[in-house]
Parts: sequence; C-alpha cells; structure tokens
Amino acid sequence: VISADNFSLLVQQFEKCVAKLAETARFGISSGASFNLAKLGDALRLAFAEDRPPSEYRLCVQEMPERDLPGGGTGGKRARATLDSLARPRKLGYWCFHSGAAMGQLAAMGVRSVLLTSGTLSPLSSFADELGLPFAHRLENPHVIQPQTQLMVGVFPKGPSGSELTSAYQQRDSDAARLDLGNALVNFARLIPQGVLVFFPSYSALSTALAAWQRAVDDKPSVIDRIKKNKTLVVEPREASGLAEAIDTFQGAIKSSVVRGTGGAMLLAVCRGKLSEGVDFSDAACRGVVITGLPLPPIVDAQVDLKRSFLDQRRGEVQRSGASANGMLTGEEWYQQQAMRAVNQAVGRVIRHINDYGAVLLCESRFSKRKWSDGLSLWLRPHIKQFDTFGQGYPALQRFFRLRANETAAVATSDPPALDAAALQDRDRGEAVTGPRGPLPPHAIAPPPPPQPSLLSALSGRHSAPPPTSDEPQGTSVPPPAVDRAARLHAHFLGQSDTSTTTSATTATAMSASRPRKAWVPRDDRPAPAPTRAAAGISVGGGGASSSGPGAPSASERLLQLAKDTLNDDEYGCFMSIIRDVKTINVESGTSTVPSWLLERVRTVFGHGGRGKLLDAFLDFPGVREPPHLQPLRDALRQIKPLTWQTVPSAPASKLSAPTVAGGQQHQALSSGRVNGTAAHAPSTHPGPRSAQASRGAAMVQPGLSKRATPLQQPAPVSFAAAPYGTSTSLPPRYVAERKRPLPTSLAACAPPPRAMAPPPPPNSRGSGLAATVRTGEKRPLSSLSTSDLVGQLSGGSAADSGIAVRGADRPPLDAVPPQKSAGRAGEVQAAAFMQKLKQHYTSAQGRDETAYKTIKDTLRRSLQTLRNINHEVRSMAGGEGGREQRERGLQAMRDVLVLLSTPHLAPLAQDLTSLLPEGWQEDWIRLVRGQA
Amino acid sequence: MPTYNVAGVPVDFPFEAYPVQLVYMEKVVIALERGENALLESPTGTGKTLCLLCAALGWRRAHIERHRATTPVAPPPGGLREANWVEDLAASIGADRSGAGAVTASEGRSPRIIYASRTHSQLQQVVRELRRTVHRPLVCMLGSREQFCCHPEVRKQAGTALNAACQALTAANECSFYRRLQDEKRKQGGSLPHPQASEPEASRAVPDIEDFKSHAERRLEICPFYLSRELQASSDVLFLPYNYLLDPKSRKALNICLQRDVLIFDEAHNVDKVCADAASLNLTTIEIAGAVRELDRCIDGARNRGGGADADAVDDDGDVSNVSNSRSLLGAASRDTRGTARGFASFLVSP
Repeated sequence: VISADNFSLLVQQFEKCVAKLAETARFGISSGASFNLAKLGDALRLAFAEDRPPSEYRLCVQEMPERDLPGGGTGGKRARATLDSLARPRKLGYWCFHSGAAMGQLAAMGVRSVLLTSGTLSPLSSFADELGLPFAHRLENPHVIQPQTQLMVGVFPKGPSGSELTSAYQQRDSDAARLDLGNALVNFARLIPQGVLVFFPSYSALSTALAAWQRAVDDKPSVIDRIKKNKTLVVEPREASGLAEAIDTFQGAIKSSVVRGTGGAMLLAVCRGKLSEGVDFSDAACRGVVITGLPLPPIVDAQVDLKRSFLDQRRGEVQRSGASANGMLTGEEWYQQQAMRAVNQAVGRVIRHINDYGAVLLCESRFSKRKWSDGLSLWLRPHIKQFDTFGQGYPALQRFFRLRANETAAVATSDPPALDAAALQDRDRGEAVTGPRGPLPPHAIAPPPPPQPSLLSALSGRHSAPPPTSDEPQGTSVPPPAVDRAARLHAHFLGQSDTSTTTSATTATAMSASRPRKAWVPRDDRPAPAPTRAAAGISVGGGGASSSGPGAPSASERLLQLAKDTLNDDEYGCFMSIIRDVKTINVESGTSTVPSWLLERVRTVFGHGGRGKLLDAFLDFPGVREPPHLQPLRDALRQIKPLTWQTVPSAPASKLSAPTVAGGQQHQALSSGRVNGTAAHAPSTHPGPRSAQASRGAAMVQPGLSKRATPLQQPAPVSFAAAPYGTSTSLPPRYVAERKRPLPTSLAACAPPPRAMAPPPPPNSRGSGLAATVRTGEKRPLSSLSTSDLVGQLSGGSAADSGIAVRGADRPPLDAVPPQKSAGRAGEVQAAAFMQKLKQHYTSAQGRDETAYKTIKDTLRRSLQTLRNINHEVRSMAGGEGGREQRERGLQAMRDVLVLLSTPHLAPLAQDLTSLLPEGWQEDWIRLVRGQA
Repeated sequence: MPTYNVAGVPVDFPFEAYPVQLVYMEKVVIALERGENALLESPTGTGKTLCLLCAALGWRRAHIERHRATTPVAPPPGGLREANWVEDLAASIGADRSGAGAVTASEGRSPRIIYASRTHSQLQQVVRELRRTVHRPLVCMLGSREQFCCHPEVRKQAGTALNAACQALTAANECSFYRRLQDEKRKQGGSLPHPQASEPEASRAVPDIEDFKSHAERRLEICPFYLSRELQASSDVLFLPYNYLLDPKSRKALNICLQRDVLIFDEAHNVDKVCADAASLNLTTIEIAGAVRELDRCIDGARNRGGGADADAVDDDGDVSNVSNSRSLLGAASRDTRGTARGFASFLVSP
C-alpha cells in the first residue's frame, strides 16, 4: 500500500518516467500522451503534503457522468478497454475547503502586505473569514457616477402579465412564468437603447427558456421573434469556440446602433459564464443588465454540498469549543453569497466609467426581500426601486432613458413605445403588451412624450388621464420641466452636459406614493405625495393620493411644507427618499441598526445649520416618532443637533462645526461658479487642474475663498466689486437673463458684495465676516444665518422665472441688508466653503477617514475658540495690550491647526483659512504658514 | 499630472482624482506603510487599477527614498512614518541575522510590487494603465510555457505535453533559446540584469507580454519563459496570473522569494476558489489506468533496450525493478479502485 513513507520514492519514479515518456514523445514515437503519471504524481504529493491537514479536506467518490467520459479518440478507447471490468468509471475528489491555507502560506513567506481588490468582494467579513488572513484595512467604495441620473436599479417581481418572476425551484418549470419573463424582455428590448445583457442563472435555464420562447403561442409571434424586432439577438455559446463570433455579432450590432441608430442587440448570457467577467461592455454595449434569477450553485453538486456541510461543521466545532463563531459563514450563507457574487459580477457590466449610464433590472421576486437585496453591492443598494407591478417599472425605465436621450440630444425625439395598459389587464396573455405599435387606445397611460408631470400622474394615479396642463405656456411636448431647467443650468456650471438632477426627487415622490404602506404608518399621517416643486403649477394629486383637506395641516403636511421651504431640489429629493426608506426599514428583521447609508443621507439633509425646525418636524413625524425599531435613527438624529447647535453666540465661526453636505456642495459649486463668473478677472490662486475639477463638480469646490487667499498680498478685495451682475461673458445667456431679476437677499451675501451696497471692509479685517462679528459682538439667531439657507436661496433664485415658488421672496430687498450683516454672511459662506473643501478631502459618500476629518474639525473649532477667547481677554484688559503669554497660547492653537494642514494637498486650505481667523491673528498665521513652507 | 499627498506619501495621479479614488489610494498607502493587509472593494469603472498602481508605486518610491535618506541619523517627520521606519530597520536587521538564506533581503532589496490578476488579458489591461502613470519601473511578466515557448517543435504541443517536452529538452540542453540564456548568464556572472535596468527611467517603455516575448525571441534570442523567471528577482513590478502564487506547485516551480514584497490581487473575487482548487485534486479511474499503462510503457521500453546505452533512461542506476515496484504498488491500488474505489480513496487519506 502506498503510504507517507514510500510515496515520495514513488513520485520520483513517476517523474523519471514522465521525463522519459516526454523524450519519446519528442521523437514522435507516441504522440498525444496524456501524462496521467504526472498528474498522479501531483495527486500523491498533494495527498501526502504535510502542511495540509486532512481536516481541511473532504473526500468524494462519484461515478463519472456520461458527458465527462472521454469520447472517441484512441486514448479514450484504450482507457476504457483497460477498465473493462468497470461498469462505469469513477472520479475521486479530494477537495480542499479551506482557502486560507494557500493564503497563509503566502503570508508566511514574509510578504509585507497582501492587498485584495475587486469590484465585488462584499460581504467583506465573510470573504476575510474564508481567506483566514487578518485584514486591518477594509473598504467598500461607492461609485464615481451620479447615481441619480446615471443609474437605475429596479426590482421586477412580476412580469407584464402578473406572473411571478423567479428562478426558484417551485416556479422554474411554469410555462406561464417563463413566457412572462420573455414578455418582460420584449419590453426591455423596446425601451432600452443599444445593448442589453440578460443573465440567466445557468446554462440549462437559458436553454429551456430559449426553447420555450421559440414557440409561437396562439398564432402570435414567438418571444424570440418579437425581441428580434428591436434587437439583434445573440446567445452565449456553450462552447468556448463560438464565443468570439458571438461577441463580434453583438458588437457589430451595437456599432450600427450607435452609427445608424438601429435597435442594438440583446445578449443572453449565463451568470458565472464566459461573458460575465473579463469582457468589456462599456457605454452603448451595455445600457441595461437584466438578471433573470438567482444563480445559486447547483445543490446536487457534491462539491457544493460538501462545502456547505464543511462550513457548518467547522462553525459547530468553534461554537462547541466555546469561542465566538461571529463572522464565520454558515453553509447556507456561503451558498447564498455565491449567488450574490455572481449577480454583482454580472451587474458590474453596466457602468464601466464615470460617464457611463445604464439600468439594472432584477427580474426575480426574491430581490424584494431584504435578505437578498442586501447582498447587492453597496453602490447599488441605496438606489434600488421596487416595482410591485411591471406597469410601475415600465414608465420609470422609459423616463430614465428618455432623460438620457434628451441629454445626449443626438437621438431624434421619436416616441418610445408606451406600455399598453390594456395588456396589463389582460393577465392571461402577455402578448398584448408587446402588440403592434398602433395608435394608443384612449385610456392608455403615459402620453407619448412624458415630461415630468405626466410621469407623476402616471405613477400616482394611473386610471385617470393627466389633466391638460394648460398653464404650461409652450405645451407639453417642448419645454423641459421647470426644475429640469434649473438643474440643467446647475449642471452647466458643473461642466456636465445637461444633467438633470431632479430625477431622484420626482421618482422618489412617485415611489413614496406607490409603495405599499407599512402597518405602523397611520394612514392619516402618511406623507401625501404632495406636488414637488417640479410639479408646481400642475394639478397633481389625482388618484386619491393627496389628502390635503381644508382643515389644519397634519404633521406630515407640515413636514413636507417645511422641507420644501428649507431644502433645495437635490436635498428635497434626498429627503423624500429618506422618508421612503424609513418606511421600508424592515420591521420584522428585529435588528436594532439603521443602515449606514441611510444615516449618511439623514446627515446630508439635516446636518446643516438652520435645519432645526425641519429636524424637529421630522422627529415629530409619526412615521419616525412611533415605530420602536427606529430608535437608533432617532438617536442619530438627535445627535446631529448638538453638533449643529453647539455655538458660541458671538461667533458664526462655530458654523465650522456644522457638517457640510453633498447636496449643498453642488449648490456651493454653483455659487462659486457665479462668483467666478462675476469676478472673472479676480486673480485665482488655483488655475488649471483645480478649476477643471470644480467644473466637473466632483470635488474641490473653488468658491470665492480661493481668491480670499490672495488679498494677503493685495490690500483689499477690490476686484470683487468691480464687475456688476449680468455683465460676465462666461455666463450662459439663460443665466444672465435670470440675473436681471431682483436678487434674493442672501444671494448678495453669497456673491461678493457690490461696491454700492457693501463698502469694502476695513483693511485690517480683510473682509472677514468672522472678524467683523467678533469685533461688534453681534448676536444673531443662527437660523437666519445658515449657510444652507444661503445656498438654498440660490436655487430658489434660479428657479424664479420658471414659475416656481421662490423661497425667501419675503425677505427684505437687497438695499435693506445692513452692510455688517452682509459681510458676516460672506464670512460664513467662506467658512462653510472652507469646511466643505476640508471635508471633501477627507470624505466621500461612503469610504472615508471620518476620524481624521473629525480630528481636524475639532482642532479647528477648539483653536478658533481659543483665539477668540484670547481676543476677549485682551480686549477686557487695560489698554487692550495682550501679554506674551496670550500670544504664545494663540500661536500654539494655530500651530495645532497647522500641523494638521501641513500636507501639500491641504496647503491651499491653510491659505484660505487666513481670512477666517479672528482679528489680529492673520499676520501670525501667515508667518507660521510660511515658516512651515 | 497632479500630485496628491496621500497619508503623507506623494502620489502622482494622471488626472484629478475623484474623492473615492483618493479614499482608495489612502487605504492602499496606509496599508503598505504599516505592512498590513487590506480588502478593498470599489465598483468597476472607478479606476481601481490605476489607483492601485499609482498608490503602490508612489509608496514604493517614497519608501525607497526614505531608506536612502535615512542612514540612521535623522528620522523622517511624522509619527506614522517614524514608527514604520523603525520597523523597517528592525526588519532589515532581522533579515541580516537570518543569514545566508535571505541574501536578497539582506542586501536591502527594495520591496517589489507583485501584481496578480486572474488572466493574462486582465494583466494586459493593467499594463495599459501603468503606461498612463508617471512611473516607469522595471517590469517583468510571468506566463506559461504555452505562452512563451519559441522552440519551433515544442510550441506546437499543448498543455502538459508541451511542459514535459520543454523540460526534457532543457534538461538535455538541446533548446537553443534556453542554451543562449545559460550562456548569457554565465557571461554576466550568474545572474542576468534586467534589460531595461541601464536605461534611464524616463525613457523606458513599459512592455506588455507580447513586447516582452518578441523582444526576447527576436532581439535577444533567449527563451522568454526562462528569461522571465530569471528577471523576476531583479524587477520592480512583477505581473502574473494569480494561480502562479496560489497554487503551491507553481509557486515552488517559480522559486520566488516574497520577502518584504507587496502582493496585490486584482479581480480578487475568485481568489478563495482558486486557493481551494489549487489545493484540491480530482482523479478518475481512467487516469489511474492510464498511469499504469504509462508505467508499463516505460518498463517495456527499458527492457527492450535491455540495459544498453539507454539503461539510465529510466533510472539513474539502471534499476528497472524500482519502476516495476512502483507499478505493482500502483497496480494493487488501482485494483482496489475497481472494487469500490474506496480502497484508493483510503490510501490517499491514511497518514
């Protein structure tokens, strides 16, 4: 018997024989030798390897399935002849289920660091557990795209005829469901431009579906034929040999769809298959990914089965030994994660770079459950929309691509087909949905070119045709909706091509209207899908969705009204999605955690100064106040408060502590654009790449602050006053026109004060609002000063001529603003912009170094406070002359800050900070900064 | 090309980095600074690969400069770096002490970046990204014989047969490409310098696997396969498919020293499976029977030549009986398999 003692000798013999055989092979004596000996040698070596404990292995002997048998070929025949006595060849599997072993060996070789990266590693904890290495650093990054406009993630639990779409075992063999999936695809093929990738859980699922779809039902054309009306259909071949041709066909059809505007192509592929990774389907090649089921590994596969039991066993052993089995995968978890990784991998095909866009359509009812949808990649999760019926998802999808088409503007405005509502009623036969594209029956929903209002009405009350929108001057088809315009203007400043940022706002509202309500939300208090500003001027509220009666406004209405008044468009959209998400937080799950992305968004919206009322109203909102499982959320909300309200009365600089906000940032960018535009000749300290970045809107806003740094060399910010509004050449015409309207007050504060209204501040204060307020000790209610208000005003201003309620219109006219106050606000804007820059350096939506940011923020706040305190002390001292001791303390406080800003990347910020320092300290700061350099 | 200060290390990036990219690079740099492992997920299209390259190479540059600068007089500023510097010093002292085994480590070899991805086409993408950076490191790529072989006869084969044929040829020193490599090595005194080492960094090109192969084959007329294995030790960045590292057998064949190197696994979502597969075996009764037949052929061949000039072909000491023993041992084992296959299984797992 072969044993640990003699195996090495045996292996040596094998190797010599292999070498010998190779030599003979070379001389052509025997070609096609398959070197079984070599393999056997490897097997023996592995089996007897000392560092692989058998406990990591499972053994399995199976009869070989017919298809694995060597077919034809002399070698195969002879092999069978040798095994004549054997009924059926068998296969021995000696499988390792502990991946950590190989990793451990690598780490043991003295490697400095092991970095593992991929687009689809999550859940990270279990991945780390599998590999058995300590991973001190973990990161789940969000995407670089703007998810609101570039990504749509929809769950379609039902097909157009209402059949449940799922690959679950019980449903799999239902013909109706299969046909309905086909109908869904036919619809997607019509709606989604260019390339669509459809992923099936397995080859067998793909081939059975194909077989079913080739049959014509009731004299109607088959699913395949109907797909082919719009798309070239390509199917992933089973054999690798046909792959290149399939890809060529697909890419060819895509190319012609781009060049000639043809329909594009649909590729039916398999999760974990040859096309699910490695092949680049960017841009037009993939505008949509359809997932048609959960690619769970085949449970009958022995290796899968053994792996599951192996994991359970291992976990059990750990538990029995009394140790914590936290983070250890159970067999079932592993099994599910296999499926989710494959899904995420496939979904990852859709967005390949920052300007790419596309839709992810999950045609699997199980994605309606948190258990499964939580397995999706982090960058998808916050954007998932549940479409309870296919009819809900259809217009949303239509709209998504319509918006994109408008933006690219290359495509002619041909009407995408509208979903035939009659077909929806026709539950037994899905074919009507995909019927001929004739004139629509009168009760059809979604009139052909649906601008914002019709989408809203389509979603909130499908039964009634939308009321004629007579108050829209140019008719329904031509003008982009009002807010779109503002958003596009906004986008223009960000250097993007006409991005509409309002999609999320409206769809969020629409969604909140159409979602089923959870039991704990009292019916009366549900947030009515009150018209967003987007729909202002249009009577929405059809379909009994609006509950606004004559009586006293309910808590939810107050909340909505307040939100509308306080928030800008982006934030409002975010706010609505928060309300929606709060409702859907799983009550049953019993977990006491609120998902971090939700907290993130909550902070985004409420984390400003001046949001106190809104926050209170939100906390008072029954949907938030009552459900016991929302306690963590409430706690988090209350924690926002002290941060924002932690103020030293005389010092607006404490605003520095207010977290700045993603939504607000864009508007800050907008305001900076204006400042740049109006004071175009003002010297900019950061030309070149920096400004390019600002225009991309992704990072590093360059507001007036950057110019503030230059007055260090120039006595007074004269340049600010030089250019009156409306004269700038760098502004787009539409924008200039808007500028001629009366400005809301705070706009003046945001933009540099024109000379006539705000005289240049005294030289020693250098226009610093902080210095000004410190000097006078003026106390003002913070809410009237809030940066976000100012920012919000800006968007209100630009929306003014679009017939949208101008927030803050009741503010006093510009002239009435006392110069002092105006200066104070400018300082505040500076401070806020400064903090935004700082925050942007340290944070992004998900991956971040919160601690570093917190440190620097706290230090800043403390140091500024110290400086101000010293100023107070000095002022109260006789003669106002500070002693050396005070000065030293101040310097130390500034040094503390400087240390944190000393990296080159933050150096510009150190300059910017100058004007934010209290009176009398600027010179010292400059000296410190220079000394550092 | 902007330079970012990422966790205290200057990192050149080909364009303005997005916040997520900065966050990503920060994680990379901190992990490398502290010598810890990291698990980094970033969606496709966020420029992971570029971030990885820029951050890792930026860190490497800073690390080398620091080492050069710090003959132990002035510790560099910054707590993190200081701690790390001390650590490095300790590591290099430790390496010195560990003696002859770690010659490369003791001569202060700077850490290599070992960049592993799943397939060669993915590595090709990585090389393309590398060309966009400012860095022009000495690059080496490892591939299979099948990819690299230039021998006119051997390259016609495939898979195991090709490997075996190559091994047989090189053992007999009959492959001209391999011979030239050995000659060259002898001329250079034992080890080959990287062909690009003499070029100034600015003028270096970053070759991909095709460039590397054609350069070796046409210009140097040296076997690219063995050349790549020679150069791996003297290069700054090593590209390879990750099964070369994860499969203990290929790793051993590479004879690679990973002391103090940085290991990067891109497209790592398959790593766990590759690890497990590399440590697993599948064996069919057909293959065992085939192995027995091959042994038979060897024995027959040896007997036919009857201890003549080829006697040592089977065994160094011309002992056919050793092989026969093996054959009977295996025969017994495979007879077991005919019964239940469990016999064979049991011999594999019994210690």
